[in-house]
Amino acid sequence: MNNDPQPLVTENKPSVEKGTGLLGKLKNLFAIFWTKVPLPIKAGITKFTSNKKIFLPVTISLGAIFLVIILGLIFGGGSAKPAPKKSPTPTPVVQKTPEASESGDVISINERKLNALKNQIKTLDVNQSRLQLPPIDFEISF
Amino acid sequence: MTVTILVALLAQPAKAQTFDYNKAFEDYQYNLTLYRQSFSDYENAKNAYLQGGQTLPLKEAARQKTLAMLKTRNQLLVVYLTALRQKIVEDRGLVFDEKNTLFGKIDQEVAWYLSDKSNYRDSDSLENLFTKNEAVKDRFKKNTSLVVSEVLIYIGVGEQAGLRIDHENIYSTLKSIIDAGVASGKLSLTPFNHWLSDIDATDQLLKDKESAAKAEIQKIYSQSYSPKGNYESSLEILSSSLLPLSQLNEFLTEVLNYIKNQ
Repeated sequence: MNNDPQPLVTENKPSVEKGTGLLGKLKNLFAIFWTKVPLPIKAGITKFTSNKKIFLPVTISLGAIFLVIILGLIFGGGSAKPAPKKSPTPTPVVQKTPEASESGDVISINERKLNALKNQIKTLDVNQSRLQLPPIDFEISF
Repeated sequence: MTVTILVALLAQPAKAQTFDYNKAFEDYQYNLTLYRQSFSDYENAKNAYLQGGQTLPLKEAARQKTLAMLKTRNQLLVVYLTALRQKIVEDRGLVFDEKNTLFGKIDQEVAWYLSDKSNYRDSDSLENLFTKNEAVKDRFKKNTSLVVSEVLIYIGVGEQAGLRIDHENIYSTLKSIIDAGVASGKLSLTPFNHWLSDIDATDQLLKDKESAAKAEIQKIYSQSYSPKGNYESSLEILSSSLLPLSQLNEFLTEVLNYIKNQ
């Protein structure tokens, strides 16, 4: 019995030819890369690609998944918004409370708005009590 | 490795916490608590020194507490001014230029207190700290308190102006309904024409009061002998706006009810 592992595929050194154009250069690069791949891996890859019943469905499925991911990243939107540039003096931005879409006719809508405004007027604090200067004692000496 | 790359690509960037007025106010409240605590510690250390024979160890303890309190005080003022700034950011009734002018004044004060805070040294003597305190006291009296008074009045003006604008929007809608009703013959122009002129007059009165309050508070910078008087006068003007603001609301409600019952 021969103990030496026999390669399933004989190593065919691809002849590195001077290709022309981009395709030729890529072929050359691949050929150089292929010569450096270890023999057992080469054997596995060749076995996998030669079995068309497994190779084709697996390749097509992976390709489809990859395509979906790429399309999702390109057209998915939202996550990759450019960060706004910081300005030395921040521009004041009025954050409006988003209004819920109101149901009913214009009169009813405005009636509700007027009632809400009436309540806001009642609760107006002209003195801004919450924001008055904090009590600070500046007489610090002894 | 592929999975790691995919996860890295698909991972959502972490969202920063929104800094709004409520957050700024919370920060201010927290710093106010810290200041009160440090002021209490300072007073205890001071009393211990004065009543405990004025020994060197007690003086050192008092110095350390004074230093800590002065730093906390500066931080409190920075956070307080930031809360005022954020309130203005979210104000609906002030225009862009007014806001920017106020931001400029607030930012100057914030910068001053931050710079002053960085000037405190752990090696500062108690006498040195007293001198530095005088500088803060002076700044607060001559600049900060005036800026704060102006900002508080503008916040009030902004709130009232925001409500006035909300009413104006409703008024505009109601006028469109009246115009359409009159054009189609469903409504008569009388009595609307009289009511609308009353509403216009009330609206104008509110605008005048807003302008008067703003003009009055500006005087604090030129009348150093009585800035508090100007602040009080501005407050009175703002208070006198509450009645016409309520009237505007009632007038519009009456017009709306009249249209509804036609």
